[in-house]
Amino acid sequence: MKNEDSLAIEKEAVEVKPEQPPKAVKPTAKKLVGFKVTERNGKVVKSEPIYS
Amino acid sequence: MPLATKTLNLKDGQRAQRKTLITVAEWGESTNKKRQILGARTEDSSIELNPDIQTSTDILGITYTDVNKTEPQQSFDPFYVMGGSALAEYLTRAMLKNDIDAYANVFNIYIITAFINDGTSSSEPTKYYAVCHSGCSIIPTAIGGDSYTNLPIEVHYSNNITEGEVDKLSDDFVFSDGTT
Repeated sequence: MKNEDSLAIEKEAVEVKPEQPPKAVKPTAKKLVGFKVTERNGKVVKSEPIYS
Repeated sequence: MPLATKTLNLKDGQRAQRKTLITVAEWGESTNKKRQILGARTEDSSIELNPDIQTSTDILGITYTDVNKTEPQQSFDPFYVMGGSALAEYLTRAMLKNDIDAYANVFNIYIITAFINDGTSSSEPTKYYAVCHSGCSIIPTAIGGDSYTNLPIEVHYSNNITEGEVDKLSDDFVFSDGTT
């Protein structure tokens, strides 16, 4: 006759986690290649990143 | 959002954390510049204004203080030569060749104050108050050290300032003076 504890262990042992579907591969993020700077009268007025 | 609407976004008595005052160096060809946020592994760094002050006291005993000019400067020591540091590579090459022109008056330096911003109540994405000093110098003052190679640098600000805003706090921010 099994006691309650051993039943619990048995139940835990047979519990199988469902197989995880493979994670979707994210598209490669755009690579930062530099920055474009706009100047006026020798001063930076805008500076923005350039991605490949 | 207009620059004037940006406010100090701190609770009463709350101090702004040091990491919310950001210095960013920008250099390279005009159409393809590089950037680096300064301060990695540097434990203490301040923008020193180095004011040129002249005081005089009149016959009524009133003292007047004239500020003739400021020459802002910021030191980063240590500034380690580390993997991924494009600035360390650039300055190492320049200093070893004694190519002074490579680091004199060629940097744009952004000072971003993350604690002055549009706040969260704005419907638009938060932007942060920033200034850009055009044509600054970053001078490597030594190279060496003990266990790891240190390349301490001095940032000399130009005071050729554009006031503006940035849209994020990573190094791929867009800086705009609001006119473009």
